[in-house]
Amino acid sequence: MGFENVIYTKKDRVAVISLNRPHKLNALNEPLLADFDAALKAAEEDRAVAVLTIQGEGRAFCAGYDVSGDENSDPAFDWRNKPMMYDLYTRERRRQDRIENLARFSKPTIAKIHGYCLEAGCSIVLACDFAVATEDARFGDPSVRMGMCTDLPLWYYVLGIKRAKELMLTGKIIDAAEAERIGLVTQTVPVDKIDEEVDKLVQVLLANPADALRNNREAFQAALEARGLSAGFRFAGDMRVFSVLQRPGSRPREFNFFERRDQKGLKAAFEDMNAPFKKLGY
Amino acid sequence: MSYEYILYEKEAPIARIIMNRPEKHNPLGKPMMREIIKALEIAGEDREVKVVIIKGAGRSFSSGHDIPAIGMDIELGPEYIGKRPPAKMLIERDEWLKREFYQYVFNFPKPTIAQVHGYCIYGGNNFQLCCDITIAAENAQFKPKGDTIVTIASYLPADTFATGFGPRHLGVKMDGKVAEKWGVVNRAVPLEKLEEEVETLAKVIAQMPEDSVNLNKKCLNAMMDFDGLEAAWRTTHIAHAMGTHQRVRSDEFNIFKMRAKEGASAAIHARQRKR
Repeated sequence: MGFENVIYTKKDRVAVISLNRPHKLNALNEPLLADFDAALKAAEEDRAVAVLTIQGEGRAFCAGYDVSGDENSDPAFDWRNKPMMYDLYTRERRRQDRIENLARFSKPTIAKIHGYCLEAGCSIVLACDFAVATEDARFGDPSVRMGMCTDLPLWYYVLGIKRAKELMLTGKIIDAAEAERIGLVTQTVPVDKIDEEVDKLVQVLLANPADALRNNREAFQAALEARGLSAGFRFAGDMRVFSVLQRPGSRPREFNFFERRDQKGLKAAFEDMNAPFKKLGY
Repeated sequence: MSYEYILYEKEAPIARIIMNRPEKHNPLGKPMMREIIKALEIAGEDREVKVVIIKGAGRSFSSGHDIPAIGMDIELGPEYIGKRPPAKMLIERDEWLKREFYQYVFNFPKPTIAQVHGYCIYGGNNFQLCCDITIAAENAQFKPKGDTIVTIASYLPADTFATGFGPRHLGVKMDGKVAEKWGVVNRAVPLEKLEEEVETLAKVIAQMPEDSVNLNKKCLNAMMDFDGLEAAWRTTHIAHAMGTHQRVRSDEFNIFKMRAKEGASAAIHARQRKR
């Protein structure tokens, strides 16, 4: 199937969605998300697909939502146009439906991670059943350092309260070994072994009856929803919208990521945002 | 404000609450708990304070609720010594613990870091679980539930939620490394590095946008409510109150009889020898 911003392939009952904006570390902008949604739907509806793998082209898995402020990026990050609550809610619900749909996907899902996997990149990883990462992968949600609230209940449901809080209250980036220790990824492998290891996992899954896999996935998802996961999605999404409306960085003397970005560019804004934390080893 | 059982230090943007009954390993008696809450209130209202560190003076974080005082608590009154207190009074005592201490700490609007060394057992472990982030010494000793007295229900459901391992570590000892593995604490570090790690973490959090920290903490705490925390808390605190009515069989060790005869310390040591 022809998409511009994702590469969708299907071979031997395995569908692969590869995020394809390598020059932007696969930051999720509107055209990419539209392609992602369409590819996900195709994999869902195709009865010949038994397993779905999600990966990224180029140097990274995914750097999160596009915060560059250009016309295709997240309107929540465009201060010049002062976003309306109505539009922010609409955008947020669409995002959350996407991640929740991935968590509810009808077939087993594998995230195959290398390089940076930040913010919404972690949303994809946490919504997948398996996460296999290379040793050089890096994880975290630095958007909390811009003043944002996480919109992802899965931080808590997958990692537990203390681990979720440490990541969300510091915005720190962790390496693959730490990600494996806290349960964010299921397996860490050397860079040159990842294709082989993911393929092994795929073969194990394909050897199981599709009905049994579906049956188990439904049961686990039902258990999470009985524990309030769907309500958690809604609440966390509302908190995200709240944090956007709060106009992060608007307190006196507080770092304003957006102002800095518009003055000095995206890269410099990130460097300035992270500098005081870097000094402390975080 | 002067304190008898704790020390309160402010070095903006960091505040430190130090439990200060080192000769008893900082037991959480009601007077100490009241002072901790008072200090948190002050830190909460102080706009210069962005993060609160909680730790213990001397050899330990905390040895849990004050065993010599259990059942003789001031709020039950001397007329109940040796008698079975009315259910309403027992439940009210535990409601106080739940609402005014543990939930107050858990829902405190500013971020809290527990710095744990030495013993962190029973109520002490509950206390650290209610803090947002815990850094422990590798050789810290954890024990989640009150098996010293009787195998009483855990007062706090949070250990079940923090790890998914809850019921399995009933009365099981853990060092810092095991606690790290089970998600009971965030990280275990060598004792000599503990203070440095905690102070650095506090500086990091103090530099975070305040609104972001506040919203993220509220958001994640709310996830636990959707996950049934309040309901779980109700069941455990009722079970805790009911623990007073447990009967000791004739071939079982009766710590309360021993405490009445020979004092709390001798009773605890005799209990430890039984294990």
